[in-house]
Amino acid sequence: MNRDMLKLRKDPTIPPSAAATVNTSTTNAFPVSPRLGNTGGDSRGNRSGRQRTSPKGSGAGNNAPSNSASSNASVASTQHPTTNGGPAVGYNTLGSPGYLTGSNGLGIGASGGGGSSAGSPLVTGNGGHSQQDGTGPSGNQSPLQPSTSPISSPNTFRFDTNGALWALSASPDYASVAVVGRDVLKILNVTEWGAEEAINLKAVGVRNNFAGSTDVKWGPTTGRDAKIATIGTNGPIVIWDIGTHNKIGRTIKEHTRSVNRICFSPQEPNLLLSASSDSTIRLWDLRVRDKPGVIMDAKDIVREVQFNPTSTHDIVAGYESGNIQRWDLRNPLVGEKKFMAHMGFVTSLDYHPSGRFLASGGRDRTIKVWDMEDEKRREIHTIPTIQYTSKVQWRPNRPYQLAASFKDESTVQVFDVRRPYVPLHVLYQHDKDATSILWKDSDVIWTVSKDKTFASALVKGQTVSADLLPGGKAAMNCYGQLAFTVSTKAGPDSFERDLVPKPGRPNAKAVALDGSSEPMVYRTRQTGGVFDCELFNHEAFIYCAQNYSMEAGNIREVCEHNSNVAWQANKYRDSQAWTALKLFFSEMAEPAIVVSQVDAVAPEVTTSAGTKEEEQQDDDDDIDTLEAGATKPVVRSLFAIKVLDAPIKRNWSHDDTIRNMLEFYADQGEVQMCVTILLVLAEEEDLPQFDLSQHWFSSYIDLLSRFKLWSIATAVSQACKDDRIHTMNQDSTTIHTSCSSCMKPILTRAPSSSGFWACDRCRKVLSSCSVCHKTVRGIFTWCTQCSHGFHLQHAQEWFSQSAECPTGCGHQCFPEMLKIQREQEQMSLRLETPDNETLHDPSHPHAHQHFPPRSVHSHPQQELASNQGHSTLRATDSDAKASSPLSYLPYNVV
Amino acid sequence: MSYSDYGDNDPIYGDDLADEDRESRPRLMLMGLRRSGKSSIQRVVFHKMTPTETLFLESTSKINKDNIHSFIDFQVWDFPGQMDFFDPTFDTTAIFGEVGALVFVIDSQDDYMEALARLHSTVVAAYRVNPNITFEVFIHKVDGLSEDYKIDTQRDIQQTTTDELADAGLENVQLAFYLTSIYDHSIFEAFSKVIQKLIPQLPTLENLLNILCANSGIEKAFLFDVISKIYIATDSSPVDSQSYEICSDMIDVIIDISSIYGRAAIGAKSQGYLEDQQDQPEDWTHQQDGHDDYEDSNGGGHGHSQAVVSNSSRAGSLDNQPVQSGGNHEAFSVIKMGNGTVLYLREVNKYLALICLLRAETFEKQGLIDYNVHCFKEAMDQVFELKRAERTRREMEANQLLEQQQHNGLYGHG
Repeated sequence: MNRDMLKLRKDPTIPPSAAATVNTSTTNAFPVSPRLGNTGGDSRGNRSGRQRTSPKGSGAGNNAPSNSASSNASVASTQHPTTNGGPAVGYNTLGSPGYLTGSNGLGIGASGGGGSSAGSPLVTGNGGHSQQDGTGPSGNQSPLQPSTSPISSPNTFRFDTNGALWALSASPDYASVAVVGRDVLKILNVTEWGAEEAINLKAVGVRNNFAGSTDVKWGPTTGRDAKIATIGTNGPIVIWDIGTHNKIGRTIKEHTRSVNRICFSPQEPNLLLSASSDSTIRLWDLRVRDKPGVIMDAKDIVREVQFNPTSTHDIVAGYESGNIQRWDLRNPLVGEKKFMAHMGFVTSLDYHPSGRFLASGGRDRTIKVWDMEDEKRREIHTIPTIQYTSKVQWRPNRPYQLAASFKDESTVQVFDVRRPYVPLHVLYQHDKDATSILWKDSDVIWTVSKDKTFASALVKGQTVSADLLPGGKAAMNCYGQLAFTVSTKAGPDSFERDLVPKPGRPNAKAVALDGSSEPMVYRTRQTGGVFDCELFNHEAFIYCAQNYSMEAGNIREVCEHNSNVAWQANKYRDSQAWTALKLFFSEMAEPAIVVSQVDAVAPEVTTSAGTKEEEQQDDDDDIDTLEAGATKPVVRSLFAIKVLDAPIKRNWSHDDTIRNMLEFYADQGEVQMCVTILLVLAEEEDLPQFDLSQHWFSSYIDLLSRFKLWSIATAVSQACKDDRIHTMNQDSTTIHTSCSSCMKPILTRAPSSSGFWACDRCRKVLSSCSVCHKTVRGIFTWCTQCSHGFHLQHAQEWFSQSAECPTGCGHQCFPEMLKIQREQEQMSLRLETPDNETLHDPSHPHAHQHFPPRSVHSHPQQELASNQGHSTLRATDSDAKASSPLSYLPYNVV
Repeated sequence: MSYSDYGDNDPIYGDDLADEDRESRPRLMLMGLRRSGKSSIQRVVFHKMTPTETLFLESTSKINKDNIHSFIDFQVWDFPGQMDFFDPTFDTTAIFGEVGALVFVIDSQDDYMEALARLHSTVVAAYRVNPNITFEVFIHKVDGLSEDYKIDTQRDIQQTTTDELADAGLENVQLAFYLTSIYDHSIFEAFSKVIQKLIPQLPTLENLLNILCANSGIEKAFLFDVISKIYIATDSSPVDSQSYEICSDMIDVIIDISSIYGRAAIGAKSQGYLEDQQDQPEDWTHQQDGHDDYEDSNGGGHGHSQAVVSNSSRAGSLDNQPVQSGGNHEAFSVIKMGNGTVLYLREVNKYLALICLLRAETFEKQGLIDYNVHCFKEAMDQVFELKRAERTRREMEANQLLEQQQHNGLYGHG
């Protein structure tokens, strides 16, 4: 669903020119547009935007579907019966723009007018607003209060380069940036207010047949020695001397296969690392020509390589196989620590500024954070992402935050690793896939995209997307319980205050990313509860489901039985309905009343009058309560009542009455009645057909399944004549191993599954012995009624002493034991005190003290569960009782 | 359709390998414990057996050699699981001497400790004989494992194996690990990577594809072996599974369509149409020409084919356009998908097809792409020409040498 949402958001792409003409007045209205960048850019006072009246309609029209879709998303996610609506729910709605609607006046200008006048080299969104210079969006302004006054913000613009861009790299002073793409090779001068093209190297490149580049890095040297390195799409690494004249300084063609990434050493300006598909990492000293660099044989396609920012010799490489390996340049023959990081290739690596931690993005759609000094090869944080990351980079001066761009995804997301499921900020700057990112400083991020633009965005002051998530969620279960969460937000930016120390065992080695010794995690400020609202009488439903007879053919008896059942369940109306049915469809072997509409002929009435009275006494209550009007002799003028000795055919159709009855129950949502009636009357020839009967059946079966009344559901399905329903239980039968404590099936395919040994939901060890609490391997013995299991030996030991379940659930698993115990006790008493007359006194305390009183605690839920246990196991109950309540199953050890 | 001549089940003990086999074909060995899924892998990948059918495979009792004639000729040897390397009749030199790649299959759903011990002994034995073998470890049957469990399993196996090898003093042996399952595309992807290591022209092909992609605005290009759906080369951008899967599915679609509309005679031959390179007049592309039967406009047996595919299984609406190709003898198909992606398939030679993924807006310049692909094909032909020339040259040299020896021998006797 998430992907669909994203597609939805992408589709109503407002062309930049349209966005530029958005009227300012509309932007101040609060919830406006999911493409908040547009409104943001506009509110910053695009000149043209202020003056023109806008074709806003197009934008708003486009927004409508995505808004509604996103609200659907939130509804859907509430259906998960989760009480902590925090992380999981939040992530579901992560991509839905509705939560971000109109949130942000300080956002990034998706347009800024940039694209509208492609061709002019300098295009900024704020060219004429010098009066606002320097102030910018003040940090203390609440992000939820969108620009009440149009503030022009620096560092928020887009620049069109006329070609899809793949990578960027900034000069050491961040005054210039090199952007490359398939047919772009440009250096831009960037200021706070915009960018302009400084050097276009494409011409030189084309002349030398190095037109496109997949990656670019700006060397640390400045001035006349300034260099940039690019990877040509056709293989070689090209070093450009841009300090003096814009020419190619050197080409490196030693790699036999394509080069995937290059990296300058932050400490030694002339050292360049290259990672290649030819399974080598090579170190080039740009001062030395003709000398092959240090070669590290990685024996695997190298996708990514990076220097440790705090070291001159420590590098890290990411491989196609998903491994990450650390290398020491001083010993290039043998790689150091290597660990399995991702399933599938590693796409991006970034060293934390501290030099200790490493963030990696992989094909398995996660960003993982590793402690490179820890011996354990376990990630310390995992961030699930919507697609695999194309580039990940830590935010300067914010030790916990990182930004990432994704494949096929136009947004750039900023995450805080302590709250991995919801991105901190989502930046909508581009119309197409953002390909690479670069933090200019801790507040400004530069991005390039396939939509041919280079963009700068101010992250400071962006809406915290988690603040827009609704904190309240509610979900209902079939027992009429409503679970809900209420969020107690501490206001915007409450994130830092809601951090708590990471739960679990204290780990002396654990170190937080900011250097403090206590790792923190985010805890949502949510409280939840469960509320019993009596909307559905599930007890009556279950009782009726279990006791209704669905047998067709013998309508009279079945209806009478069902009528009684409904009466027992306090469903008086249903009870009457059954009685009515009984009357309608009885073909009585005993003298029957037949009510028929005849021409009022006096002689007929008189002939039947004699027997009528005695018949009335028999069936009095039925007739009186139900068809009083029709059967009373009062209507003698219209009806004749015949009482015959032999069964007769009815000559009066009940179609309409039955139809009304079923439709009434269908309207009430009482599929139980609808289905049972249909099944009971199944043999009737002239039963009206109902279009919805299939739906009734399927929803009744669904309901039964929810109440775990499996055998009844199967019986219903089997009794149904409709082919689709009848074959329902033949489609595919899945047999789940269920957790014995929460009854959830054990799914090994679940994303967070822990295999067969523990339940994902309640985190309890499965098939543990109730006596020794260890996992049972081998023969598992369990009580079919309370479903507690044991080692066979332990069960034997325990039940030789007691009849009751060792868990204290109160169930008498082994009732025979009571008898035996009593006998034994009597025996022993007789042996001990043969002449003690209290032996036969049943009221003597000693006689009972060995029998623990039956547990009288009654947690309603538990009782219910045990009831169901009985019902679902009904088929086996008789067998079990016949021999022993204990069953043996050779449990296959996985 | 399959590589059908897998019948020569010579036990290796009788060393009756043809000289030609020994010399030119890289060997790919499937090893592992019994019931780990070796034969299933071989059947699914190279013989188009459906995964469910593999349930009924009998266990392999002797080494099953399978000659694959494709872009490169190679042999797949399926070993019985219970084979004992320390049996004196087992000639390790004969077996490991020529091997290109050794694929060791581990059943991840089973307790894999025994498998790891066997892997260790296999690697040690093989490495001693032939240090140039590439070792590939398939952690197989992962379809039954959860995501977390998968990565844990791989991590565990990888760590144990490399540690053990390091203890044995074999740090330099490089093992590649793959998580595979025959129920999805992962086994094909893993095999693709294995086969790629056996292809000496890989860097050239990759470079050609890179250039093609860069100049035609293609997002991703695969060079597929059509029969096995293994990709033998791709451009250097990372392969994500969706791209691979959709391209692989496209081949299925094209082959299905062509077998529906193909000529009856060819349909009958489809079982063994890759039987032999010499007496193999029809290849899969000829089947494509069967479109002529229902597209009158083309006429003649050598018209180009157009795959007009309407496939609703993916992306909602697959919008297809018949496209006119250059009129030469080759299969060609374009599938436009609802999400703005275009799949472009073109036959390269008898065994290979180029499949490109590109955006619809790039595809507007289709003439340019057609031309670039044409250039790519020519370059490919040159690469193969070189290889063929090399082989003929070697054969001639060998013949000369033989003649010379015979000559010398005659002299000696005379």
